[in-house]
Amino acid sequence: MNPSGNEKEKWIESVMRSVAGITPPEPNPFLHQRVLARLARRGNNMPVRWAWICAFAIAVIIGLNAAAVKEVRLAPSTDPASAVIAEYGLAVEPGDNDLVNHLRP
Amino acid sequence: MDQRVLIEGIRTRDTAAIRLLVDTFQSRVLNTVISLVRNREDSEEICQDVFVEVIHSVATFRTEAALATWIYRIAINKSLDFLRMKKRKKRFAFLLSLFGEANELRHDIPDLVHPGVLMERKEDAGYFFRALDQLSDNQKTAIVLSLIEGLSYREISEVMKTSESSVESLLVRGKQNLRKTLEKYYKT
Repeated sequence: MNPSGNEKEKWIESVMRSVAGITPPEPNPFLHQRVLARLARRGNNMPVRWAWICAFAIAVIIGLNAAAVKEVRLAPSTDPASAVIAEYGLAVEPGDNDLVNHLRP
Repeated sequence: MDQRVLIEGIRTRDTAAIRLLVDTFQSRVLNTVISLVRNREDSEEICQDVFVEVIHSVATFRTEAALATWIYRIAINKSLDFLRMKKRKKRFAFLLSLFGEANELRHDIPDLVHPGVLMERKEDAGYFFRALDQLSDNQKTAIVLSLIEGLSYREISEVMKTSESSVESLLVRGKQNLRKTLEKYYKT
C-alpha cells in the first residue's frame, strides 16, 4: 500500500473509532414533568383515531344521502293511473278510457 | 422495582411509576435519538413523544419481553419518522424556493456532533455522523445501537425484530458503506 493510502486508512480508522466511549448526553431534569403535562393535555383531546372514524362515518352518511337523492331524481315519473292499472293487473282495452279517466285526478 | 410492577404502575398512570420509567430510560433514549437526529431540542421533543407513546400503549406490551428493547424500538421509529418528515419538508422548501420563496435553509439538518463525543475527537466524529446519514435506515439503526449504545447482537436483533445473522450482515455492510463514504471525504 502506498504512503497516502496508508494515511487514508489510518484516518478512516480514527474516524470509525471516534464514537467509541461516547458518553450519554445530560438528560433534561424536567422531562418527567413535561411527559406528565403532555399526558394531561392529550387526555382532554379526542384521540386522532376516533376523529378519523367520525369523519369517515359522516362521509359515508353524506355519500349514501347523495346517492339516494340522485336515484329519486333519475327515476322515471309514472302516471298514477298507469301505476294502479299495473299494480292490480287490470286489462284495459285500447278504446276504453273510462277507467283511466276515472282513476285520473 | 420489578418490571411487572413498573408496567402495572404505568398502566394505572401512577405518577411515581411514570417518574421511575422516565428516570430509568431517558438517558438511553436521548442518547439513541440524538445520535440519529443530532439536534438537542428536536431530540428532547422526540424523547417526550417516546415516553407518551410508551405510557399510552403499555397495554399492548407483552410482559415477557424486555421493556428496554420495546422502548428502544419506539425511540428508533420516532427518530426515523422525524428524519423522513424533515426530508419531506426540505423537499417542499426546495420546491417553494423554485417559485421565489427562499426558505430552503430553514429545513437543513444541522451538522451537529453528538454532545457526548470527546473534544479532541469532535472533528472525526463530525465526519462519522455525516457518513452515517448516507446509510439506509436499517444499517444506520444497527450501527447506532452497536457502536454508540453498545448493545449486543441479540439485543439489536430484538429491537429490530430480525435475526442475529441479519444484524451481523447489516453491521458488516453498514461499516463497509461508512468506509466508502469516508474515503470520499478524505482530503489528500
